[in-house]
Amino acid sequence: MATKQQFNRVFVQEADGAPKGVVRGSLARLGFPTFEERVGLFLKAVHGERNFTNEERADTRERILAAMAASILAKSEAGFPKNARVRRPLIGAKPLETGAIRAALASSSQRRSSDNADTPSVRIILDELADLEQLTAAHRSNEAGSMPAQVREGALATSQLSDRRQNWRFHRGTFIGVGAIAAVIFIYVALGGSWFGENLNSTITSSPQAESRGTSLAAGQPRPAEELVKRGRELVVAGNMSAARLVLRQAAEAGNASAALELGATYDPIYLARPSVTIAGGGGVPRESQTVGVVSSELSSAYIATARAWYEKAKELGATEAQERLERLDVVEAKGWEGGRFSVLFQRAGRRWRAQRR
Amino acid sequence: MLAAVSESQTSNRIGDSAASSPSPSDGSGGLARGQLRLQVLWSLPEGHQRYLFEEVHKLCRSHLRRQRVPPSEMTPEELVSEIWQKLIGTVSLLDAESSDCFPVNPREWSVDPHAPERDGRVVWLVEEIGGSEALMHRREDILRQRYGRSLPGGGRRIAQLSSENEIDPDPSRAEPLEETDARYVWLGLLAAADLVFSQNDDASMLLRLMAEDPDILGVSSTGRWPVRLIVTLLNSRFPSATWTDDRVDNAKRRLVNWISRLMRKNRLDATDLEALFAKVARQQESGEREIQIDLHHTNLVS
Repeated sequence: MATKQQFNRVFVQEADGAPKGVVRGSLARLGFPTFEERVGLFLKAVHGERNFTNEERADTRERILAAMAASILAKSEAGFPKNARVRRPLIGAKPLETGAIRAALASSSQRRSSDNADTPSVRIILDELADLEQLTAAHRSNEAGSMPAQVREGALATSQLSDRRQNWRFHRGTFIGVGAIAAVIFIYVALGGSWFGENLNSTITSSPQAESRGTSLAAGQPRPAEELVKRGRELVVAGNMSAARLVLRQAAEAGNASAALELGATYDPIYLARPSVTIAGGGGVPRESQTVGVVSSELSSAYIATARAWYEKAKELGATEAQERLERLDVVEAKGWEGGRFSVLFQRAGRRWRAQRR
Repeated sequence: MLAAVSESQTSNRIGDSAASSPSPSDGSGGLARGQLRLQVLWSLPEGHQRYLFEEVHKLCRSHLRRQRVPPSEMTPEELVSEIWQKLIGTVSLLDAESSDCFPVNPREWSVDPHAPERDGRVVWLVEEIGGSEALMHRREDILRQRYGRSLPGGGRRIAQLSSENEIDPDPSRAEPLEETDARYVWLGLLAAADLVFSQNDDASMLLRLMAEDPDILGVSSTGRWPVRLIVTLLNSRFPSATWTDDRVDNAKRRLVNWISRLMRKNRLDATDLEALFAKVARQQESGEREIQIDLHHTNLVS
């Protein structure tokens, strides 16, 4: 990948010296504000006329930048550019041949007990294959210039195409995942293995992420789960709960019980409200709690449900402490606490965070 | 209460904003409309802007009151912030957008420098961003940021919260900050260029080659493009087309001109532009991660 200096030298400096074209259209004289002017405009619009601190300006810069980036990405979601097209799958120039996977599934099912053919894993794959085949057909017809008429005509068509693009994007990862699954299937079929369904489950949960990361970031070798857990703990201690979640999630997905347990804790309001928890980075505490001090009951419920889900996963993976934490949530809920009451805990954490920040 | 806003698959929840504004007929018209809003806002005198800001505040307050949204769920300030963030964060990529599809003709507006309430520009902006439907969309945007998309049967998927995940994508990577930044800048540039140039466009192919092969740009110490080398590499990488010096020169000129216009139209300097591209890449990555989280969560709860 080229460096930043190279990017700057090649494009930005040359762009500065490029001939100044004329912006066409009747609105040419209506310009855009500069980035700093955008920041000032936003602050005035939201807070009124007053002096703003450097911190407020920095926060706003980040916010406006995020909105501008979202504006660019929204263009791709909205069917831009003019020549709307469905993206190619990332694996190979040709669309995935799903027939081979179906054949492998069928033959392996015949060779095993009939129960295996009905495992959720197999059903998921068959469902995904059906979707993929449909998308592949759309992709091919698009490439051949024979996109269905309704895709090209009218607003409804635009919406359908955008939906398809969205689905395509969603399935891009799935394509890769199914590719990996197919490879696994072929190996298992070749070996005549008897643990087909069980292993397929783990393949489904781990492959898309690993593959996607590999293609989008060209990441290196995956780290061992223990190392990720260690790193996750360090991040929790440092108060960077968001980063910790990401790292712990990778380990949890790899089947590490401790990671799942600790990941659940980062969403657990009882855990977050403990004075011993470092929240210097603001991570873990809901953003509403950081800014306005109020957390909606819906948000609290979402956190708790997520904590529960990870605790359940940890329990499934053999973490004995998970049961205790689930019971603790049960006990508090049995006392009549609803999501709104839990928000008190978040508010407490938020107050501490604001105090630390000051 | 929230069911009035339809869920659009196309609405962007990749980052901190969404493209769910009502558009006249197609996506590009809606996007051009967004640019017009920002341009009109910027053209207003300060007094008019102040009046508009106050009006939007009032409209947000009354909307939330009318919809009986408790402050614990959403405050008028949050809604106001969302409205302005979306409007002020509009970017023009040019080339792919045409001003022909602007829904209104600004020349038809009456301009009153003394009474903002009678100024056609202010009235139009109030209608555009302060209407009931627009406010519902912004509310939906906020809720999506918190909880994700609503499910077809009502309610929302209980998922990892996207707003919490805007962080370095992989903190465990031992990559120097400078390299990480550069990587994101290039990825963002590629994403933006992908919207303007088709994948088979010479400019797009050239850009992809340069982004992926750092040696190309490092060869020349004079700042000149090593056109010959680029021609050779392009011919080996994309053998379907015959690359020549002129062809590379032409593609290069189009790329540089596009970036130049992008900076000029949006009034961004080099630092802003790099930061913007980096942000685009991060948000794109974050969007991909959300899909993975969705996938994972589906497995977790099923």
